[in-house]
Amino acid sequence: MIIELKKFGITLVSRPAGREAFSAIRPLLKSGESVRVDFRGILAATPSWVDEFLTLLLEHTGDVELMPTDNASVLATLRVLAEANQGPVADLSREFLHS
Amino acid sequence: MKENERLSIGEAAEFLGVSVDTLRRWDASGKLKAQRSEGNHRYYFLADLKRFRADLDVIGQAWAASEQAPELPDEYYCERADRFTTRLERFGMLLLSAGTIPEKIVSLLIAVTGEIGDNSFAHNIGNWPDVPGIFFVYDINQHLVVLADRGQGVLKTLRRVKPSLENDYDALQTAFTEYLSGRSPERRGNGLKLVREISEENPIGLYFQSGIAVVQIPKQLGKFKIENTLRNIRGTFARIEF
Repeated sequence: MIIELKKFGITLVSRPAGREAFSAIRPLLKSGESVRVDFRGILAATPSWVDEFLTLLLEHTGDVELMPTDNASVLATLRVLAEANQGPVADLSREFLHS
Repeated sequence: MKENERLSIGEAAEFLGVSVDTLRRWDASGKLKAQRSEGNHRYYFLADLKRFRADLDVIGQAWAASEQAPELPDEYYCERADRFTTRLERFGMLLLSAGTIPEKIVSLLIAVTGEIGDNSFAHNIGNWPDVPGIFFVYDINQHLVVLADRGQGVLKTLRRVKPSLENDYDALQTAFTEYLSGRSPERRGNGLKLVREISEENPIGLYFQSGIAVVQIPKQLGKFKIENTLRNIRGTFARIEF
């Protein structure tokens, strides 16, 4: 399935909001299903929101793909996450930035 | 606009980013006196409004540094994070509709503003020393954002994940340059690294103070530097120029 992040607002800023977004989407996730995350329509995102959301999403389903984006704040956020954390979110961010 | 141009109360409210009711209150209290036309309608001179707006920076500093919290108009104060997010989104939409700044810079500016404002809430929740929330003002014409909080400051909150920190200078150095891997005892988003990266590489300037340490990144491309000042701010104060 595709998760359109713009459904959660155009500014994705705080950790609690990232957690709330995951809680909202969770009942719709089928186990074993691959998930694609769509950043289209977002104005700005920060490492706090994206880290929280992707951490929970990756814990739930290991099969997550980030769809291509040219949003400057999303790209800067993924660069920070790739460098900051050791773990699945960093791996996913690196994979996206190198693809 | 000419300096001696007259603005109606509605136009003045829009110019300052406050409501008409707030301007009426300020007129009654003497904080910002309106002129009166022959028909007794309120009006304002543009030059007076510009002078008043220049004080935004001073109001933010006072909010962050004074012993007792000064009273703030509702429009400048976000007690809770959800109000901050709502106003941040409105700021972004205003910038986009104004069309004077490239969309890429708007995106980065909103991320920087969001990160700094959200940090105040994330790191002080349940621990505000006196008044919770943040001072948040933007001025699209002056290309200025001011954020301030009366929280515990970067040193105290960062010591929770790095107890060896000794002073404000080292705390800001760590906050802006060092990647903290700690998932415990609390999750850190490493957001100020994002702020530094964006500000250094784009036409976004930053002045960020906590305690007696100040980080400055020039608006034109350039590296950040930290220095100590004489005046202490317990929480944080940030001015963003774009």
